Amino acid sequence: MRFLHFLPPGDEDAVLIAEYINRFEALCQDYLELEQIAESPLTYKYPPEYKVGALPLALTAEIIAQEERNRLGLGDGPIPPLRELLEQDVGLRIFYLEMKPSDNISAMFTYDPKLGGCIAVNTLHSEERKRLALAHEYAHFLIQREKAELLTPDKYQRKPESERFAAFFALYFLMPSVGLTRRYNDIIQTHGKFTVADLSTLAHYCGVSVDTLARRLEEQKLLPAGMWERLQESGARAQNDQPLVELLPISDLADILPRRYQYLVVDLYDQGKITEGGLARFLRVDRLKARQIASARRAEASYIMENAPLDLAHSVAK
Amino acid sequence: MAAEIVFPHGYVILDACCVINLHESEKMSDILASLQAFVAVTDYVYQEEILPPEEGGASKLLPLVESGLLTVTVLESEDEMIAFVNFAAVMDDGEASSSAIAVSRGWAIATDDQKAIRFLEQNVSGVKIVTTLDLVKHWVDREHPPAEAVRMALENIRNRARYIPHARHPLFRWWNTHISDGADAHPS
Repeated sequence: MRFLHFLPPGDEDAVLIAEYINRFEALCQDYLELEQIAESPLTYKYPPEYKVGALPLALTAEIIAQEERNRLGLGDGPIPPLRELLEQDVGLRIFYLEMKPSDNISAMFTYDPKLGGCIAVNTLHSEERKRLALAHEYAHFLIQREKAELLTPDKYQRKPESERFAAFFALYFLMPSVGLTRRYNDIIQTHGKFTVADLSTLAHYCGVSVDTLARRLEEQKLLPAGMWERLQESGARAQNDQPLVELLPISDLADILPRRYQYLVVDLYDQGKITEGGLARFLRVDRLKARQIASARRAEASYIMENAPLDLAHSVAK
Repeated sequence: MAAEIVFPHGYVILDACCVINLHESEKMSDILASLQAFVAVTDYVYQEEILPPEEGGASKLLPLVESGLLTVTVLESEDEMIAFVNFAAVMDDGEASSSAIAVSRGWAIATDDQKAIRFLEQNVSGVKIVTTLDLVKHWVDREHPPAEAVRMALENIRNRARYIPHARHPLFRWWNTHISDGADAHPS
């Protein structure tokens, strides 16, 4: 098991974490098995590993974040549902697992030549924190994909270079300097000031927590250093990294299993290539719940089919 | 046209998918009673597969077991264990245990599982396979329950058990005729 070095012997939490690692690895293997039965391998669109070390780490992270944004056609705007983007446009396998105690683990990353890059994110965390963790693990994939990684808060007294890089990368990837500065300026031009409500709205726009955005703006020197701490002291508190104002949840898939994984399972079941017991086993639920999930995926697929042009190739040619 | 099912030796084993469908129909005891056969379910299916534990698990079937309408059976002989191991290589444990007992003992098997049906038809000669709809139709043909009761049972199977027969199922038209608003077609 590639994660073993993370687990101190005799640690109670280590037993739990080992269980999550086993669950994560089993899901990755099941995903591969489904693809093999369906003869439908995942398409990998992986860039070569980026080299780190020649320039200051923060600058390197910003350059690589921008290169990745360009490669993925994101420009400098907000990132759409990040999980879907990394699953479909990069070819990562991403699972959302319930990992308790939630303070101890945010995400895991592993890579295998057969499986490709695989990430598990703690589904107990807020949407903003999940996105940050996803971007963080993606950074590890970009620079050191052969090395498994377990993201735990304050794991290190002095963070190694790869951790510091990943932390920088996540911020620049989710909040690119140019786009962030432009949006900040737009607000200032329009309102003549930048309020706590603007901060919260902008955080939601970027899909990050308010304190993450505030620190990023401070680092960008768009907010005075220490502004966020002073705001918190004065009562403008963001509880548990949630936005200060109630906003609609960010559109992101909260399913434990990747949507493609679910479609593969249901399709194989409908073709009679796996049994109903297999349907339930692959979906990690009982049979009745598995039938509900299958119905939902079929309904989505039939909606797509009903609304699709009759001649896809011809409609593209037009 | 009434066509009653004749079970070899008077025995039939229910696979998990059929148990779920029949249980959710809310007419399971009536249907089982109408079969006039020894009806069994494997211990594995009974304990592990049929109903989620938070909804009472297998205890919901206890009245049927206590009344003698349903019997829980286990893999007994070495031959059955070998058959189970062989089937488990291509099916999951629930389907494999039901199939192993049906094949070893010469019983009928009630299953809607496409993969299990196809495997048994192609690899085991002489095993009688029936489906949920065969059992429900048998009850209807034999007991002549009110049309409303039949409609309710089928609607429960569709809405609560989330089972809709495939358009190629031999009783698909019968299903459509007896259910209130016609069935949504199963993706084919």
